[in-house]
Amino acid sequence: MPPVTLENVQAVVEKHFPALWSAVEAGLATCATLLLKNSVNPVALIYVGPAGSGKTTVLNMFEGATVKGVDLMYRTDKFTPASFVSNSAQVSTKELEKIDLLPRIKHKVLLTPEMATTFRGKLDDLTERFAIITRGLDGQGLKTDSGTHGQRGYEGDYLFAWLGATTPLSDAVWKVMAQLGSRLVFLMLDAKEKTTLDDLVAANYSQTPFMNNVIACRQAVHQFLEQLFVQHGGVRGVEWNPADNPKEVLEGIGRCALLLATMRTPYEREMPAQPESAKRVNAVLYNLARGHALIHGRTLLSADDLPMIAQITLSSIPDRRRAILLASAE
Amino acid sequence: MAQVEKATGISRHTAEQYMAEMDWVGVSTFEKDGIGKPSHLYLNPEWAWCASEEFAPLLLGHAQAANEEPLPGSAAAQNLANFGGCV
Repeated sequence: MPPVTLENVQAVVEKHFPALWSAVEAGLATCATLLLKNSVNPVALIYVGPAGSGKTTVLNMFEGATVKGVDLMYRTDKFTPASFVSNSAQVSTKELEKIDLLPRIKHKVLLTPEMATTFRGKLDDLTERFAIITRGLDGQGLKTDSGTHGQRGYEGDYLFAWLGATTPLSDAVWKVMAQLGSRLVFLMLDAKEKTTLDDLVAANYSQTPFMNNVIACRQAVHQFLEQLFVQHGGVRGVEWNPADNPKEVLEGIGRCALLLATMRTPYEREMPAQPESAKRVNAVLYNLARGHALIHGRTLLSADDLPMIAQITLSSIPDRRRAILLASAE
Repeated sequence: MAQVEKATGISRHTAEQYMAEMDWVGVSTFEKDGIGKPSHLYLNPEWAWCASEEFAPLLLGHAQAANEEPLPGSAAAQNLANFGGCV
């Protein structure tokens, strides 16, 4: 089988789903962050968009990817952060190890196509959920205590990557994530245009059903990812030389991190603004930029890595503030 | 003010609330001149790089690119032919 280049993958995706290439590219970059030898910050990229915007289609393209016959992806359609380290009272402590999610996603890409329930609920529930997610995204494992099982969990190298999808977020969710210094980053997928009657009729005249188009993209994505991971020696196979990073690119990433950390500060009118530290998000954006470089065949950052970082930064800013910022920048 | 109303699709009153938030976080200065007069939002000097020639296209670029149709006969189309793995 001839090697597949990133340009080949782009061409296949753009043939079938022209609006989704930038989302697929960001997903590939997220997967590639697993290749970074010294990465301690898992990257969690969540696609956000209304129904029909294509976010599940993107995740479908990644599902089932393997490297030398070993699963690279772990998909779950029903996900709760508590499942990282389970404390179910109905299961023995010994059996819990078999159902904990964290060891099963170690060095893999977690795919969660339906996260609407993760991002909904009472404030206390949201806070508890995002506290667990934030800790899990430290990449150092997770330990929890419960009355039934005492302390249990995992510590050490629990690097993973995460691609998820959800509908647009509420103000309450933005606020909770900001308070916890969330490491989740987002990519907005807009509903491009209304589906017309002509579109629906044409779809049923097509000789290639929708799923065939997804499968074509999936083949290209899977082949590219396997080549990439084999070429670099698998997870943690790339030793990055920070000294070679162009300063202007690092400045661009740093500016995005400062902007994001500041722009998602939760509004407390009577209090002075206290933005989160930009260091966490800077580390995540830096990893994403390096993942982007790797999929483009580089082990050096370049200015070409910045548009994706800016796009993710913008998408990770609460909606109204983002719109006002863009109006200001224009 | 009119730009913000247009960009966000929200009422003047709500737009002013969000502009006040932008002032509060320190990215911009919000000037409200009074009833019947236009309000203004200025990027603060330390954030002026957001609107700089180098950075603003990064922020604005993706919105423009998303509206572009793929070009028939482009290099991407050639790559597709080379790959030959599509349905």
